Amino acid sequence: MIDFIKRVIVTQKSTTLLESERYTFDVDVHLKKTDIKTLVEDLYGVQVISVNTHRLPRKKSAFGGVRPRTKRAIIRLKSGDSLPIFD
Amino acid sequence: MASSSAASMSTISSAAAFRAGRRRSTARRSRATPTTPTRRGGHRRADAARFSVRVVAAATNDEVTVKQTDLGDCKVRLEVTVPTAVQTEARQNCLEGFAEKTQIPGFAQYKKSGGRKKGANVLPPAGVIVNFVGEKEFGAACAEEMLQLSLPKAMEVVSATALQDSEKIETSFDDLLKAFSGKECEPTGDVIYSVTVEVVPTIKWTGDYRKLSVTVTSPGDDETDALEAEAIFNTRLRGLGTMRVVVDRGLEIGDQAVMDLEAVNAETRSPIDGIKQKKFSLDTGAARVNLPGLIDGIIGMKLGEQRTFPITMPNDWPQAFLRGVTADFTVDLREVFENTVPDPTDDIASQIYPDATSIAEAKEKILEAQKENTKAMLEQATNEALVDALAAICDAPLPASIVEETGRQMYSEKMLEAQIGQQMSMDVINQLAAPEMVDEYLRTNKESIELIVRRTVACEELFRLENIEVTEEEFKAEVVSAKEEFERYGTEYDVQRLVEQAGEVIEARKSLDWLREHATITIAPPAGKQ
Repeated sequence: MIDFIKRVIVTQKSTTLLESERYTFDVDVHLKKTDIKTLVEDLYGVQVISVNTHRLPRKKSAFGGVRPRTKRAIIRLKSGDSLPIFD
Repeated sequence: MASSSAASMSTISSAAAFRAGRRRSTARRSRATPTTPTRRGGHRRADAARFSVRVVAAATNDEVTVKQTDLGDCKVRLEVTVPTAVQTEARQNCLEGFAEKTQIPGFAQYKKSGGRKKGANVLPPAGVIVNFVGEKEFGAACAEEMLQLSLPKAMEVVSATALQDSEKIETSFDDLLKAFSGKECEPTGDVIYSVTVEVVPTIKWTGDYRKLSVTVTSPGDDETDALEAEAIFNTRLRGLGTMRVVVDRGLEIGDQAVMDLEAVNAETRSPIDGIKQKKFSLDTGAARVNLPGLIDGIIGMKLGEQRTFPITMPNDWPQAFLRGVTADFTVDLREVFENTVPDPTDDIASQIYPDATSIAEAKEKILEAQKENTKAMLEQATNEALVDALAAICDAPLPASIVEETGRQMYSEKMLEAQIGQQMSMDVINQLAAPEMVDEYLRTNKESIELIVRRTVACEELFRLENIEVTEEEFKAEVVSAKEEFERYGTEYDVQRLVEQAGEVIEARKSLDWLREHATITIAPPAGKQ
């Protein structure tokens, strides 16, 4: 479960959010908000204040069918905490 | 973890942090959730504090410092120390430049002035830009920008005396790149690089240029002009004659001869290359032959006959090393023509000189033209002598860049002449214009180029010392005439270069006028009469 963060998101919005300790990343669709919270807190030893998630719109693949879906999570950490993976 | 966050923030450059702080404090405030204001406020203060510290640190040491060393030979070395502040500025410029030029996925196209899109004036994080552009390329761009920022400041030290485009950066570019080897191409410390600049030579006059005195050998006086005009008249008249092949008698004065010519030095028996000529055509009836003795030697020769006879070269022979040398000439007569010259009547006057109605008028006009010619030659000879005299008392080291530039100009002039004269095809000219050929020319003709540069330098110095002024009308007239000349031949030209050149030409002419006024010019009689 160490790589439960599938992808770190670096976009204009995510970098703006970083300034207020909100970190954006993609996770497995099956993870619930509470799962994400416990995982982050256990793995990185930080305190999570809130977790917001959404599922991205589905994308069709070039050969028909749908690409694997992911869940995007935006978590807010306690002031002063940080995730080293985002450095 | 707290320290890690701080570290991640500090990677964003001070200006970006400042901008971020400002943005949060104004535009986004209304949308902030009620739980965060205290923390956000705290951040803002921290950012502002960091920024102000940077400014204070920068204020003490953000100037480019230059150390100047004189290398002699018109060269000056500048050791430029670029502080971190300037490097940071260069890096920031690069970040903004690349962000404006590239479309980074996930970010709005950056526009410094703020575009139409929301967030267009927000710079993506430095790491993202550097990653997107490539670390190596970004570092190179930073180094270049740093040079752009610091070099003009460094050059200010020598701006009064430096020669245009003569600066040369001696430090290798790789060393400059090392300056931006930090994380995300951040500057690692002060950089020192050295530049060599060529400066205007300091001119020492070994004599007084106000009291020049030159002796010019006149190319001709009335007497020689009359002789010359007579010769021209005769040649033209003979040119109108009808030729008939002669087979049954020997060569007589007045015949046209075609012969193979060879000469060996009578003492050393070594051949003289300059004289060897095949099918050399000689008009024995011409009033003046440059080589006295040649005609006497060949009189009476028959077709196909070979004769060898000695001739002592005259003292006014063009090649100086042959003057006074006795040479054995071998002449092989190939063809003889009899020239039947028409009587000089008024009917053929117009053929001798255009628009002449009588022989007398034609003769007069030829004489006039000859006198004009002599006058122009005298003027040119005077100018040359004056400038040479000026160059002789001008003791100055010559900057290599000027010498090279002049050499290149001379070479391209030669090319242009060849092109206009249509002696060569475009392919040949392109071949001749190859860099190796130019370098070869520069090497072989170094002395003559240096002489010309010395003349130019001396004239320029004179122009400056005497405060000679050029009026605007004169300058405009010169520019227009130069432009017309270029257009007549359909050659491409650079307008700025043309204006510069026109200025130089006018300066030279004015200096010459000044010289002619102030120098003592003695005109010696023509060479043959001394």
